[in-house]
Amino acid sequence: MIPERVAKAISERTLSAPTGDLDGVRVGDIRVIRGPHGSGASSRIGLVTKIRISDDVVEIMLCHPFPEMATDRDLVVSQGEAHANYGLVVQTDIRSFVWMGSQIGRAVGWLSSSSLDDVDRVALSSETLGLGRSGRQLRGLVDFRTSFKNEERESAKILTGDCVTRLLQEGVLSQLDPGLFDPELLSGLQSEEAKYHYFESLQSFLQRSKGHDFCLDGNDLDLLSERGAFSLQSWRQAAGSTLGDLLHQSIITFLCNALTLHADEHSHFSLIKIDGWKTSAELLTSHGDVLSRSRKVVTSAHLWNQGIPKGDGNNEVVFEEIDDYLGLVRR
Amino acid sequence: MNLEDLRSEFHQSTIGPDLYALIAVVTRMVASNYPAHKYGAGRKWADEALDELTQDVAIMLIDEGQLEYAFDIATDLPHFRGLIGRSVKRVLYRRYSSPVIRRLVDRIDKIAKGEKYLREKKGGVIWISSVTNPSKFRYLSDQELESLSRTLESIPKTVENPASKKASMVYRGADLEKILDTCIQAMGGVSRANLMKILENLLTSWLPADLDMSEGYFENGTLRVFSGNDTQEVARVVGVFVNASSDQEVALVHMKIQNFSDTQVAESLVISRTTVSNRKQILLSRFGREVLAILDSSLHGAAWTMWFFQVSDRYEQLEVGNDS
Repeated sequence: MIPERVAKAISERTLSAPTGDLDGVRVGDIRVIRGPHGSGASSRIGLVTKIRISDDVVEIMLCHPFPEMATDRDLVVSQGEAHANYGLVVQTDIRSFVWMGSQIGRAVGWLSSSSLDDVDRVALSSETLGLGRSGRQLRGLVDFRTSFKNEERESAKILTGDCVTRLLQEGVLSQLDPGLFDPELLSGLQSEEAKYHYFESLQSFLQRSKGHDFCLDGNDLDLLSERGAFSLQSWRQAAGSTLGDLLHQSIITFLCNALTLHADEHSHFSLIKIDGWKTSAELLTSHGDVLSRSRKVVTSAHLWNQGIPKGDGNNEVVFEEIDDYLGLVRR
Repeated sequence: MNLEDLRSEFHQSTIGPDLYALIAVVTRMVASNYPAHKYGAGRKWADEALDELTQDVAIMLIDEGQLEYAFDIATDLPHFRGLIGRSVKRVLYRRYSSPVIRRLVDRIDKIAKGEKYLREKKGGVIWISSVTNPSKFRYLSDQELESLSRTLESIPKTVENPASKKASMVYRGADLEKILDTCIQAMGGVSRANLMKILENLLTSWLPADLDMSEGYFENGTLRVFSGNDTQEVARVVGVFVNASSDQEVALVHMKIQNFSDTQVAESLVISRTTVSNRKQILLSRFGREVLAILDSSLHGAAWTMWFFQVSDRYEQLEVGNDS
C-alpha cells in the first residue's frame, strides 16, 4: 500500500522529454558512462566536453545529482537546464577520457551552449555566478565534501583509467597550461618562503612529468612571451637573481625538451628565438584537436584571471591539479 | 526480486509495492545507525517515525528525480540499495540542518534587536538595516547573495564534536554579528529570508560528524575513530595538549583546519603572517612530540581528528569566556 503523500508526489511528478534515442554523441550531451569492460566499475553520468572521433575517444566531466556536495569548481544545473529527469552537478575539476564505442551509453539530457559557457566560467573561476549556481570552496578535512570529492576522483580513475592509460601508451599529447610558467605568479607571492615553495613545487613537477608528453600551442607561446616567461630579466625581477636564474633555467630546459610545434606555428617559434624547439607536423596531423585551446585536460587558467587574487596557495592548487592528472594516468 | 523487476515496476507505476518495500527496508537499516533524538525530529525510531521517514525519502526520490538517477546508473541490486541509502542520509541531513539554520537566523535576529540596528517588519518581511544609515526593504539578487556568501566564507565555523553531548553553536555570537554587519555594509540591509539563504549556502561545508554521506548503508554509522578501547586514551592525551594551548593557538588551529590562509588567520588574530607561519610550525612539532609520539601509529588519524574536535570545543568556550 503506497501512502497518500507518496501517491500524491507520484501523480505530480514531472519528466523531461526522453533523450535516450538521440543519434550520435555531441558535445553537451549528458550521458550514462559505463565502466570499462571487465572492470566491475559502476556506471556514472558524464557531460561530454570533447569528441575525438579518430581515436574513438570522448572527454567527459563527471556529474552527480547532489547539489549540497557542490564545490566552487562545480556547476549546479537544474533539471530543466539539464533537459534531464534530475538536476546535476557538473564537476569541472574531474574530467578525463573514455572510449566512445564501448563506454558511452544513452543520453539522459543535454546542456545548451550558454550552459556550456557557464561550465567554462566555473572551470576558469572567471565570473561570479548566482547563488546556488556553484558551491563553496572546500574547507579541508573538516569539510565533509572533501572526502566525497576524493571518492569522486577515485571513481573517475576507475571509470577512465583504461582509456587514459592506452592513450598515453600510444603517445597522445596532453596540453599544458602556460599559466604554470608565468613570472607574474611569483610577483604575487609576498614572502621568500612562498617563492622558494613555488620553485620546489615546480622542480618536483618537472621531475614527475618525465616520460609524459606535454605541449603548448601557438597562443600559449605568445602568451608566455608576452608575460616574460622566456626572459631571464623577468624571472630575476620576480624572484631575485639567484632564484630567478634557477627558475629561468629549469623552465627553459623543460620547455625546450618537451615542446612540439606544428610547422604552421613557426612564426611563433621565430618570435621567441629559443634554440631547441622541435617541430612535429606528424603528431599534429594524427592528434589534431589535442592542441585545441578550449577545455584543456590540465588547466590552471584561473590563475590568468586578473580578478582572482594570487595568494600564496594558488600555485599549490595548480600543482595539485597536475598531480591528480598524473596520478590518474599512471594508475 | 532483482534490479530488472524493480525497473519494470518503476516504468509502470514509479513506485509500486516492491520498490516501496525496498525503500522502507533501506530506510530502517540506515536510520538505525543514527540517534533518533538528533535525526528523528525529536522522536524515537518507533514504527510511526520510521514510516514517516520512509515517506520523506520516497518523496525526495520522486521530487528530485533521484529514482531515475539510481535506475540510470545502478548495475545491480546492491548498488541500487546503496544509492537509496545515500538518499536516506540526505533526508536525515536536511532534517538536522534546517533547525540549525533557523536557530542561527533567530540568533542574528536577536542581535538585530540591539540599539545599533533598525529592525522593521513590513508585510510579513523582517528587514534589518543600521540606525545610522537606515535603508528600505529591497530584494537582493542571486548575484548579490552569492557575492555576500563569498565574503562571509572568511568567518570560521565551529566543528561539531560527536563525542560531545552539546550541539555545536556553528558560529560564535561575535561572528554572527560580523555576518550581520557585513550584509548591512555591503547591501544596505538584509532580510530574514536572505539570511536563511546565505546561511544555507555557507553551511554546505558543515555537517554533523557522525553522518557519513557515502553510499554504503551497511556500515555502522558511528564515527570510526571513536570506536574501540583506545578512544579514551586518545581523548585524554589530546585533551592535555589542547588544555595547555593558549587561546590564540586554539583560534589559529581552528582556522587552519578549515583551510584559511596564513594571511586570513593573521588578519583575524591581528598578528603578522610570519608569526602565524612560525606558530603553526611550532604547534605541529609540539603535537608530534607531545601527542603522536606517545600514541601507537594506528591511532594517529584518530588523534588528528580528536585535535580538530577538541580545538573547536575550546574555540566555542572562548566566546563564552568573553561573554561572561
